[in-house]
Amino acid sequence: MKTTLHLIATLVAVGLVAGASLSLVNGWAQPLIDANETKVKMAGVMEVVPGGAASKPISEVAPGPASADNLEAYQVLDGQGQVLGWAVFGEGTGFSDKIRLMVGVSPDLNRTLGIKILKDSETPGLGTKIREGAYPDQFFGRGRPAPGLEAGPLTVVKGAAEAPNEVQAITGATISSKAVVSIVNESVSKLRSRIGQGEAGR
Amino acid sequence: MKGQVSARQEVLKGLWDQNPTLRQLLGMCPTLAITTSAINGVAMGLAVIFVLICSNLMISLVRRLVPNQVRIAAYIVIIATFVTVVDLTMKARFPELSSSLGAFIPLIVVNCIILGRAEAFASKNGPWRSVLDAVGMGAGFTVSLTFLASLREILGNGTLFGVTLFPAWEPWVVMILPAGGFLTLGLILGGVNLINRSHEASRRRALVEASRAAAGFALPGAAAGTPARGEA
Repeated sequence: MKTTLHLIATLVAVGLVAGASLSLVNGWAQPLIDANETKVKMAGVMEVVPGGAASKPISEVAPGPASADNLEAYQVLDGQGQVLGWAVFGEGTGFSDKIRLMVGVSPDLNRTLGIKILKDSETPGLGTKIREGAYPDQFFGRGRPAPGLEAGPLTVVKGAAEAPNEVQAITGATISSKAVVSIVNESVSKLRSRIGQGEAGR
Repeated sequence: MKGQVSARQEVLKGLWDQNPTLRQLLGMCPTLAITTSAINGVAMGLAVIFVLICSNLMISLVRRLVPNQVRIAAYIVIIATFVTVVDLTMKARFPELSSSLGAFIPLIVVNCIILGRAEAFASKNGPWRSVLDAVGMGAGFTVSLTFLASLREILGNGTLFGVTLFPAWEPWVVMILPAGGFLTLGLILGGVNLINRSHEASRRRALVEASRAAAGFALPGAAAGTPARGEA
């Protein structure tokens, strides 16, 4: 009996000390971690809508039924207060783990303006090409005919893209390419249903 | 053994003779998974050194207070606490490094080097020696990982610590993929074994010669023990 109590007491003591010290460390670290995440996200917002100078969360611009669609989007403005477009946050399953990204959409919601992969765990050298190079360039309208990529809904093709809503897949990383496009489609359609196409340019 | 081993040897054994990665083959999971770039290797190594020193110190301090039956549970809680501290600190201060190391920082909890040193060393030795042991083992792990990661980064990406070495190099992507990890690790292990074997051979030769000089040919190999067998 005595030994049992001793065992329990030891583990309780170890647990208490560990828990107390961790809560101290967490109190210091958590605000910094949150600040880092916000920083990465806001840098992404400015990156996917070229020329952006300020942004407003969608809750200020087009308040909708809160949390119904989990939409996280920002209206991006230039220095004069002109609406340049929207930045929408999206998240979905990639090849090996979640992909989190930010996609820029034009004010009329018909074109993508840019994309930024915030976090991914894709295969190095293959799937990680979603981060930079020819694949994300397509979302910026680079390397394709003038109006850019038509935002809706996008499809992935192997080989050169022809139609305005076609995205050329990365060789050897079709699953990653498709994952990004389906996250973009989902995010854009959420944004569409929230603000409606008619009042989009407001 | 205690008391005979000098402080210097306590540190140095982790670097070569008992190198946790290359001689004991412990902690293979992070070794293979995160060594895709040299900076990852260094960061992982530093995180492990920190956890190893703290947990070895703490465990050797409480080793007489923790009853034998619950020692593993207590050790794991102690180790997990330090790992969580590292994880939170990295997320707060070095978010990019933390995201490239992914789940492998939290997984240091189950890295067998840490619990291995706790069981095999810190629970039987005083705090000072336990810290020395942790420094040596951690350094051995870090050096091995950084070496492995540098080779993989150079061959698989043409860079070292992010600096482009060979602009015209067409990278061997396979070196960054898991297969490249196994290949590189296997070759390094083979190389280490070769070096050890030739050291062993020359050590035996030296022993034989010493024994001959000492005892003449009357007692061949006796002073040298078994390694000199067959020299008569």
